[in-house]
Amino acid sequence: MATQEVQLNETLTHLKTESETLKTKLEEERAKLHDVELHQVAEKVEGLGQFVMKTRRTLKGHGNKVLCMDWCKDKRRIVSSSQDGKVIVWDAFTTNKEHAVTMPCTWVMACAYAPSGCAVACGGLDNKCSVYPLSLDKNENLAAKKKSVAMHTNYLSACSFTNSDMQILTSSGDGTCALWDVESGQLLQSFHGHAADVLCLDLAPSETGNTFVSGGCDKKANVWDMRSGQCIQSFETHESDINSVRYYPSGDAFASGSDDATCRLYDLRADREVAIYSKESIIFGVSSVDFSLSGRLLFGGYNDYTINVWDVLKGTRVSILFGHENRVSTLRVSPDGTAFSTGSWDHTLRIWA
Amino acid sequence: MVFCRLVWLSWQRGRMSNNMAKIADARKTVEQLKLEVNIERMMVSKAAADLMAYCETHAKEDPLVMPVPSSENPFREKKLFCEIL
Repeated sequence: MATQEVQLNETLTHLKTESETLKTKLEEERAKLHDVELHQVAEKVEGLGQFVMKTRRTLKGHGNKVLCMDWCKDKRRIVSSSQDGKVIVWDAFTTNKEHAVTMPCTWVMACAYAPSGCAVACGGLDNKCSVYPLSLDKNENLAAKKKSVAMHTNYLSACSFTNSDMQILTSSGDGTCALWDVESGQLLQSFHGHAADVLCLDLAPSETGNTFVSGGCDKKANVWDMRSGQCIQSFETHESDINSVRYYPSGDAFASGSDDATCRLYDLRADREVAIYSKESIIFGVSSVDFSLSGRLLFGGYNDYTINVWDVLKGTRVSILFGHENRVSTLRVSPDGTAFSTGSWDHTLRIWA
Repeated sequence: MVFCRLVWLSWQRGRMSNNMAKIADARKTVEQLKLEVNIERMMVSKAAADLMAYCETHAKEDPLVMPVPSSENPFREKKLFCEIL
């Protein structure tokens, strides 16, 4: 018995050493391609003009902190969820509320609009992701048609429909991501690899294939193959939890926002971090990031109530926007890029353009 | 005595299966790292050039980079929506 145990310990030590050697090799391989910095290459690019962006609409109606929001593909409707369990669908042009659902749990941390515009998905402390079909009849009780799709063993942190209304991708405090069939509620694929809570995910733009990126409390951003469940690439340069990840519009890179007060850009083909967006004066964490349509601008919502706008190529800050009276918790650019929306702990959502 | 021996044996077995689980995890980590080391990579200069090219090609279509006239951005319009009751 004792000798077997000694053998097992030896194998374990041997594997750990091999692991460390491989990690060093990975860094060496990545360093070989690091011939230049992005902002150096971007020196010849024209600078951006003066920015005039301000709040154009304020959506009031939530009774507590707004935690998440998503745009509808029709570029005018928005779904938002909050700490008090309410999920509201708004018309952003008119600021009218079109639908409201009360979830049976508080802290609805995730919500998403279906590509067809006919349903919304949401979840949070109930550890589930539920889909509500939206009805044109205002008097209909939406909660009656609710469908429970995903089941995790800890809170739901993010959810997103794939290209159709039929599949949902979720991430959870239980450290995993999962792909579900909406109709049957069946688990199609699960993604294991994070060592702690997964806080965010984003699907690659449809032209670039079946991958998605996730970020977690283990400071890692992982890129996954949706079909095989395999982690393809992993990036660990942040110094704290990664709260938000978003693909660059071409699908060749992604940005992340973290509690370490920086946003970073990772290029998937160079397999490394290529830019850091930070300033000494910015010390509060980033809760949410998104790109403008061309990928030239990166918007970050921060815990110090502001939004910082970054020039993605040059690495400089273009503008700082004020308006919210508490943390900005969520930020998304509209599908046609004409505006972006933010949700905050001050109970409101703002549309900026 | 027999009882003590049984307790000791099951504790040993518990430790062994714990070690075996750790080994399985360590093996998975090693396999994962091997995959990541062996992927194909591109020089940063080329990758950066591609990112720049994408920005430049799409800059004209980006309403937040090249502002369109107020009349074309529904959020910048000054018109107020009134409902006729």
